[in-house]
Amino acid sequence: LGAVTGGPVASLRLLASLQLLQTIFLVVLLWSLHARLRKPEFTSWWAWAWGASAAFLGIGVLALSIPGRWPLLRGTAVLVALLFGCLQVPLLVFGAMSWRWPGAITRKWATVGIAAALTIGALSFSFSQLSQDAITSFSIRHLPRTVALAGGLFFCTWVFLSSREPRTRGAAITGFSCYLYALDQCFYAGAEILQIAGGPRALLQGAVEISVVNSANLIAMDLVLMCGISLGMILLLVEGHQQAERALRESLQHSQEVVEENVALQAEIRKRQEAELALRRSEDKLAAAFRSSPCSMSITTLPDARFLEVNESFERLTGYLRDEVLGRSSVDMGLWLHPGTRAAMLTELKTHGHVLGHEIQFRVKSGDIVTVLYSAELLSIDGELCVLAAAQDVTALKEVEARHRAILKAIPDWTFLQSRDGVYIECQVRDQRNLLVPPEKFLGRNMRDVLPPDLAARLADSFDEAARSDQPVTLNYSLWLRDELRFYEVRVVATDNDQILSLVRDITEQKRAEYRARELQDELAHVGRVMALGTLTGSLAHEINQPLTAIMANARAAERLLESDRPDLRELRDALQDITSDNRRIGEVLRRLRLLLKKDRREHSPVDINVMVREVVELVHSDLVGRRVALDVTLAPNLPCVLGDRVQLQQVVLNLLMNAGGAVRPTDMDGRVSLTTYAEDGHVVVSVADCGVGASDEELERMFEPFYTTKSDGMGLGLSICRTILDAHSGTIAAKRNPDRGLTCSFSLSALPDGKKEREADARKQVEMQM
Amino acid sequence: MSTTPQAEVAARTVFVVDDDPSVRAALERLLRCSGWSVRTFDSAEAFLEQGADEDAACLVLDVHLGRMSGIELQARLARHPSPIPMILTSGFDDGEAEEEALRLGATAFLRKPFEGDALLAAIERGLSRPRYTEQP
Repeated sequence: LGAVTGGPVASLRLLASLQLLQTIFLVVLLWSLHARLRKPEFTSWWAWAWGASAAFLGIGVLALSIPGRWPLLRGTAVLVALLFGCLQVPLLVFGAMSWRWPGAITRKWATVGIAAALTIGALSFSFSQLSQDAITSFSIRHLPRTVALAGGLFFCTWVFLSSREPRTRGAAITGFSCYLYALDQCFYAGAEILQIAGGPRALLQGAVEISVVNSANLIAMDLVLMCGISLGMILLLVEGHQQAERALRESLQHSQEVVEENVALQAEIRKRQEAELALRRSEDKLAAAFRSSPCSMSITTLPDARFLEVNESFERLTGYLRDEVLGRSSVDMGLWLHPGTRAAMLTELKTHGHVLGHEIQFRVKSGDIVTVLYSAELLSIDGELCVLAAAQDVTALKEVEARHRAILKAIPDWTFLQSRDGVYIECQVRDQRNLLVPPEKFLGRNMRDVLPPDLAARLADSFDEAARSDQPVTLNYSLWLRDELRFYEVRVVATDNDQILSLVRDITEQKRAEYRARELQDELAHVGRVMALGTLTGSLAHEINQPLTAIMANARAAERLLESDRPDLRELRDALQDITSDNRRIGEVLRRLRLLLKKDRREHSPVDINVMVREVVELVHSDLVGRRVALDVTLAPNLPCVLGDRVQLQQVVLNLLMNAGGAVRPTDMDGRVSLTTYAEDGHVVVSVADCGVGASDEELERMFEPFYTTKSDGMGLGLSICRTILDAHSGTIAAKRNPDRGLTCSFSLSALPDGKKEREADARKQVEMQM
Repeated sequence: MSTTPQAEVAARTVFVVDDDPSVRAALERLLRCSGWSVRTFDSAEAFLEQGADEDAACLVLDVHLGRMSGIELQARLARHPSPIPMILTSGFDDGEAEEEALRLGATAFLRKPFEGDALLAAIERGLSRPRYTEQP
């Protein structure tokens, strides 16, 4: 347009400047859109394209301002403007393509397109230099660009209007503007072709005229079209924003939903994991319990009793291995000793849902029969009804129980099972007639309400004692039963479960037998004493005869004294005194004798051994003198007392002294018997040594046996009676040979502790109670 | 009543051997009251030690003494050419001793307890018996 001069040129320049501003606005708009639109590739291409357009217009306007004097400068500006104008075409096309096919424009295509555009621009500039006519030159120079721009805009029109995306107002306005702009360019192109071809002059002239005249209008139209494109772009921006916002909102909403779903899902996952873990743990526990239970356990199918699982205890109990039984039927295997048992168990199982602790019997692999406590539950496995059964082997327990029952039956004693505080729980009595109260009247009641109070109290004490010491405690008691005193011995023992088992034995007959035995024993001892004294009669008579002789002599002397004229009264008094004394002496002998012959019940009391021995010595003395045996008596001073029957102990001493005296040979002129008492280790010992014939080993061994004697006139009872007496006194009697000759017989008794008279009394009482 | 022995005055002492003190004392009292002089001994050995005096009228001897018995003492004294009259006593039922004593020439064998008069009579009897000497 540089050739156009005059007034219209000024208005053209103004319009071109406006178009330039408009284009710059568009470029700025596009660049600002570039970051915000969803199609940055498109905006950047178009920004460049319209930038190129702005450069074409700006430099073109500049070229118009350059004065004709500087043709080279002016030509260069025209060329640069043209090159920018040509560059606009491929950039526009690239933008449209990248709108339609994002990423389609590679660097190679861009280079080729830009190179082609620049080449065409350069060629068309070169060709334009061939023409001298400014208008023609202008036309030649611009024709390729105009045609290409028209084509490019048609393409853009197609792209925007045929967009597969929902058609928006922005795209529509842009497409429509492109279309009008393309038509505009076509018009330009037509005018330029006519100019170059130089066709019918008039027409041509007119057209040019029109074009020149209307150039301002056309450029104004360009301006409008540019505004349309700008508006389209803005709309695109707004819509893009809206769309983006919508998308963002949707995306946010979606994200929110996703987040919520995710949270729910994670919770669900966690819950399931926990449930699964718990289930697995519970299953593990159950499986472990099943496996390691000391009870024999099995799972069988309900209808046909097939084994599904068994544990190790089952294997131990039955002798069958797991692999042997799985899949087999317990009925077919003959495990149930009584065929009807399983059916009965199933009936109960169906009625109550479980079976608890039934005592039943199985025949195991070895053929043995075992007794078990059988419990079972119904169980559903994979929809199939099964029986979970546990069996505890009580065979051994049953055997022990049976044995205990047999033992309890076998023993003649009565057995009572009582609670720790004395309530009767169980009893076993053979003959209930011998009970104080029939069982139904005392079972479940406390013994305090059944037995006499003192007996109940003693039993309660023995219960305490038995529970404390864990040892059997024995208690003796007696009861009046049908007007007869009966004696009982009860052994009390605490059981493990804090109950008390009492074994009661009626020992009445035993007591009576003991009593009779004691009576017999006493009788025998008495006979022994009588016999011993029988052999002493001679010397006893001597003991009496001596004082009697003295009495008679004194009496006669007294008579003689009285017969005299002057009786010697002092002599007379002495005579009478001697008579009294000798009389007393006789009385003493008779007292001792009577004591020994007394047939009395045994009575234990503290006995002073020395006093007791002395009395016997007095009796025996003359007998020994008669045998010409000397008696040495050595009594230890301060001897403790012993608990015993004085007469029986005297009998022992008498026997020992007489045996010792008898052992001395009659021809022995030096016959001697020594009696010694002494204390030793809490015992009091009386020892009688003789220097007689001694004894053989056999005699020593048997001398305390009944009816064993070496004497022709003896019955051999003396020493055996002595031993019986010592046994009754918990004492000992023994004989041993002396180092030189003869024997020593000694007996020993527990000494009573000094100053314990009360205890002696107690002991005596106890002894009486035992009677 | 006072009994006068018929023997000589020189022979007025009665010897008593008994191990029982009360018997000894009683016999001594009885004999003294009866006019005899009395000497007592508690054993045969004691008597032998002291020896019988010439004026011994009679010996009252218990059979059962400590070590040496009355019979043994009697047997020993009987060997004397002119033994004094001996009266033996015993508290035991001693048949054998009685026989032996009488065989050895005892004047009497008195079983305890005896009447006082029986002893006095026996002493009288012993003193009245003629003393003779056995030829060896």
